[in-house]
This record gives sequence, C-alpha cells and structure tokens, in this order.
Amino acid sequence: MNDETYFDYAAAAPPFPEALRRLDEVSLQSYANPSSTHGRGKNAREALDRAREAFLARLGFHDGRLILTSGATEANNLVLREAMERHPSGRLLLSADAHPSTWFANDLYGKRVDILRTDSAGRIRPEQLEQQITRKTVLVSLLHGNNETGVIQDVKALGAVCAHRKIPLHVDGVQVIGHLPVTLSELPFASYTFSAHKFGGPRGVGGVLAREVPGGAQIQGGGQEQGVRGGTENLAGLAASVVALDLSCRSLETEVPRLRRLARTLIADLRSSIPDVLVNSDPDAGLPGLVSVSFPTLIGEEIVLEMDVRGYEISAGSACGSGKREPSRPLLAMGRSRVQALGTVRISMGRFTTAESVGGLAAALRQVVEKQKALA
Amino acid sequence: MDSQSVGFLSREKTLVSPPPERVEEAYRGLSPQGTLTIQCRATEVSALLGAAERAGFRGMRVDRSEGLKILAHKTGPQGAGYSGPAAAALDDESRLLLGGADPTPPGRDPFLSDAKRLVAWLGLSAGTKNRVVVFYPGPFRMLILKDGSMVRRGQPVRLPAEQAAELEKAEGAWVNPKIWSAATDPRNFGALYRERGAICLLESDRPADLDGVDEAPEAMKRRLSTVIERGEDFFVLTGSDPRQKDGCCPSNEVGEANALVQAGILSSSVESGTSDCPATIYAFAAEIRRVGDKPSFVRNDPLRAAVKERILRGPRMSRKLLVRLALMAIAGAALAVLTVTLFRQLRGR
Repeated sequence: MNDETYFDYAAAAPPFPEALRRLDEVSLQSYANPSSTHGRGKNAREALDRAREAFLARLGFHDGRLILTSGATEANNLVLREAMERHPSGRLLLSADAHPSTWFANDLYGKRVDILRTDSAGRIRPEQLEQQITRKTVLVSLLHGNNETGVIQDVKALGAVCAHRKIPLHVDGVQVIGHLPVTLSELPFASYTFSAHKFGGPRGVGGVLAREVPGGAQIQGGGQEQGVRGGTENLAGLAASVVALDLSCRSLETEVPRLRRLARTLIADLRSSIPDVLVNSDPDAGLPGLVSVSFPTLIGEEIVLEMDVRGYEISAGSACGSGKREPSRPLLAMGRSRVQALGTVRISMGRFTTAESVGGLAAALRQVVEKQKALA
Repeated sequence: MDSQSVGFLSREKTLVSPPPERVEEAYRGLSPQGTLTIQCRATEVSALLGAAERAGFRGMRVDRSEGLKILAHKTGPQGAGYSGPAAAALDDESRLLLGGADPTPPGRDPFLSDAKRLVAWLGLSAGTKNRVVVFYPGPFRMLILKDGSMVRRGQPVRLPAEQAAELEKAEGAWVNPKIWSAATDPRNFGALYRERGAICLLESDRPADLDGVDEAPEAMKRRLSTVIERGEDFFVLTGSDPRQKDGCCPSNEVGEANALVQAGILSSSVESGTSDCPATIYAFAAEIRRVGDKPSFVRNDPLRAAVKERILRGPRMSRKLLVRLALMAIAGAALAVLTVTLFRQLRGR
C-alpha cells in the first residue's frame, strides 16, 4: 500500500506511529480502571486527568471541559439529543450542510427542526442566522469545516449572534481540529465536537469540548464523565490523541500552506484538462488540501471505483436512500443541480501527499473522466 | 460520504437444490469467514458450482459423505501453493499455482508468464486407451495434468486409468463414480493456449451465448463497442439489479449488464462494501481476476472479437431465431389453409 496515493484524509487520516506507540505504552502501564480506588486506579485517574489537561491546553481551551466519547458521532448525538430532550417543545436550528451525525435530528425530531440556509458559496451569513433564530430555538448546530466541500464557517461571528440571542451554539469541529490553527477559548460556542482519527490519532476517541456540562446522559451506568457518559474512560486512546494532536498542530505552519499549494495545483490541472469540471471548494479559504469537484452527467461512485482500480483512494458525495441515489446535500444547498451533484468526488490530502502523487492523481482522474464520458 | 454499514452476517448457511440466484444472495449474507453448504442432486452440481464461482466463493469442494453436497467458503486459503501430481492448479482466486513452485509473494501477478512457462513444461499426451471416468471434487477450480489435460472441479472427464489412479490417491478424485457415468475427454491446455492464449484457463466450458448481444439494448451495445474500441479493461455501473428483491437503487443498466453475465458474455465483480448502492465492475467473460485487494484483468481477445463482429453484423440465424421463424411459417400456413377452406365453403353456399 502506497501512502502517497491515499487521498481520503477527510474520512480518516493515517495514524502517527508515535501516537500508536503511546497507545501501547499507556495500555500496558495504566491498565487499571480510573474509577478504582486502589493505587493503580488512582494512577490511571491521574494519567487521565493529565491527558485531558494536555488536550485542552493544546487547543487553547481554558474555560471548559472535555467529555470523552467514542467519536464525534456519539458526541454530536449526546449534544443534540440532550438539548431536544431537555426542551420538549424547543426547536433545533440545524445547518443545511450538516454531517449525518447531526442531520439525524432532522429525521428524529422532524417537526421541531429548522434548516439553517447556506449561500451559494456554502457559507452561513450571520444575518441569515439572526433571521432564522426564533423564540423557540433552543440550540443552533453547524459544521465548522464542511467535510464535503471544505467550506469553513465564521464561528466567531455566528457565535456572537447566538450569544446575543442567548442561544447555545453547537459546532461540529471534526474537520478543523488538527487541520487549522484554532484557539477554542476565543470562539463563542457552547459545545464543540471532534474525532481523533481525523488528525492521526486512534479510532474510537472523540469528545465534546463544552463550556457547560450537559444535563442528561445518553449512555447511562457508571457515572463517568461527570455523569454525562457512562463507560470506562479510554485513557490510552486519549493519551495517544494528545500525541497526535501535538504532532498535527506543530506541523500546521508548514502543512497548511503546502496543502493549499497542492490543492491549487490540482484544481488548475483539472481545469486545463477537463474544461467542464465544476470546482466546489476554495483552495485558499477552505479546509487545507480538500478539493471537491463535480463532473456533470457522470456518477461519483463510478469515478471512485475506477480511481481505486488505478491505485488512488478518493471518495464520492452521494448516498443511497429511499430506493434511489441521493446527491450530496451540502452541494444541493450550495445550488448545484442534482446531475452536477451526483458526479462529485472529494479529494482530501494530508501529510504523505506529494506534488508527484497529485500529478499522478490528476492524470488518472483525467483518463477516468474521458473514459466515462465515452461510455456514457 | 462518511456513511457506514452495519452488517449482522451469519457464519454458516445451508441451501437445498437452490436456484443459482439464491447462491449469490447467500454469499452476500455470509460473514467473511462464512461457509455455505449446498445439498443437491448430481445433475445440479455443475451449474451450482458455476453459480458459487460467479458469486465469489473460494476453495469449493464436492462432498459425498452424507448425501451429495458442495461446501463453499467465503475466504480461501491465503498464499497456498500446489504440490500434487498435476503440473499446476488454478485456485478460485484465479491464481495459477505451478507444481512445486513457491507461493507467489503478495502484490506480484505472474499469471501470464506462468501460463507461458506451463505450456513449455507439458509432456506428450497420455494416450486414449483404458480410459475411466474421473470426478475431481476440488478444492481447486482446475488441475492441469502433465500432458495438458484440464480437469475441472465438478465436471466428470475420461482419463487413462493410470492418471485416474494417481488423482484418486493424491487428490481424492472419484474414479468411475456411479452417479456420473457420462463424461467427456478433457480439453488440452497446450492446444487451447496456442489458439486462445492464457484466457483459456479462466474461461468456463460453457460458450458465450452471443444471442445475448442481439437482445441487449442499443445503449448497452454502444457501451460494449466503446470498451472494445478503446481497449478498456472494464466498465463500472452503480445500482442494483431490478430483479433483486432487497436491492437498493434499482438500475436498468445493471439488469442489462447482468443479463449479459448470465449469457456468458460479461463477467462481474461487486466492489462496494458499504450499505450504499453497489458499484460493480463489468469486463468480458473470464477477464476479471483478483490480485490482493484489487481486480486485475486478462484480455479475452477471441470473445471481444466475436462480440464486436456480432454488434457490427447483427444477428445471425440463431437457433432461437430459426425456431421463431419456423413457428411463424407454420402459423402462416395454417392461417392460409383456414382462409382457403373458409373461402371455398362460402362459395359452395
């Protein structure tokens, strides 16, 4: 397996070997249950507290706490369900480009959910947010960086609107943590969620960075995480995530401009060789190294499979639902047509991506698109 | 984009004389280490083995210890070699295992060069005297004997008694089994290789039914022509076969391509492992192999040429067409006789 031909970092980043070594080390040394009252248990508790503090410090989050979960999906569920259950007649204002791990609320609470509109560039304008908040709104939920288009929301400005209206803001920050420099204490949110495997940490580690501890638990029994999330804490996973976060954040100064350069090169290459390509992402203002492109009349999944046979791993944006292929919701929200959205692929780069591998990917993608157009 | 699938799959499943499409369904419902047992009659073995091969089962073996059954596994032996009396064996992942050679290291695919080496090794024919019926129960898809005889799993062949005894002893082959008295002489790899190339190892004995090309819609014919003209290895379709009961995203194109698979014109490999619509690779019959986790392709030039010719020239007088014409002629004649009879009767009045 060649790591340079992996272009699906937004789905899962390759883990840092240093993080996995730490995972091993802590698993072997601090195996005791942090809830146990004996010496080893106390040591594990101390190690957990240290890891928690280190994680928060790395993100510049000094005025809140970390509630550990198994990943961002669970973390998002915890926040949204807790709010909706605490306010049975309250309404959720959910961004149109939400990830499925928060969009579930639209299916579950249907009539109590309002959809927060994005503009043609995929951004939520503060005045739009202001306009859509009602007296019944109990929570606003949005993505910091969109996993499909790479669009980054101005959380500071949007958070200010929420603060002014005294509505808690939930931010799904999965694609941002470890990929962009952030100081969370400067951002006005109530809760912010993450997953460690997106920045080179182990799978099964995520959490809610919260200014207030949520009132109810979704997983009960055990009383861990201040009663909010039952279950023995994943100490080794958190310790490994601290290492991965540290390595990611330390490389941002060089990695962010490098990945932006690679994204610009790729887009220029595709535009010159495939004139009808539609570019959905902004290489300079979006998530670094995330490129979303649409090839109208083609099918994203078919491109993905052809690219896989040629040795390049990318991903598509559509999914199957209700007996037909559903195009990407964030792209539809940006005003793309169904035909355009169905032919969308996402290319996401990371630390092993090189200029050579981007050149190879562009050439392979051109061949695949030419072939599929000829066969269509 | 980040959707996930959750499967609750069974480790074992038993089917009794199932229609071939049930075998494919069973494959989808089994865990990666799962085993399917198919209880069947002797006359069904060949078709059901073929269905299990197409579905993707590995290391299949026909067993007769408690009634006749086929044991089919979802995962075959990894990195297996071959050390029996045959010159080579072909496994269910279409790896050619030369007798006595070390297993191929992962990532390498010496299929074409090994097929060429194998032809050079082959000795003289073992003769035609004293032949007996031999049934090879597996687990390999095929054995290529030292004289080039191709012995397919589940298909009785006539071999010289000496060769038969060797296969019985070393491979557990069944000699003169009562349930299979009829058998044909085996095809010879050396002769077929010279005629068709290495693809002859991967082709089934059932010839492609080119009438399937005539019955395909024009768009599908254009697609096949483009694949041939551009020298492409394969094409991809997403969606499920409309005939599949539990399928999501039904696609007519997938149904049309699957009809061509049934006709022995195309082969297919379902690639997606998520709950999303399946994405399937289609190539001409016998062309798809797997090397590691990626598909690999061996060009079936004779079939491609035949399909191209068929698309260009249109349908020839196929048996189906002849039967149709004959029926129409009979119906026409009957109608004429009836008309004349009626006319005469009316005039008689």
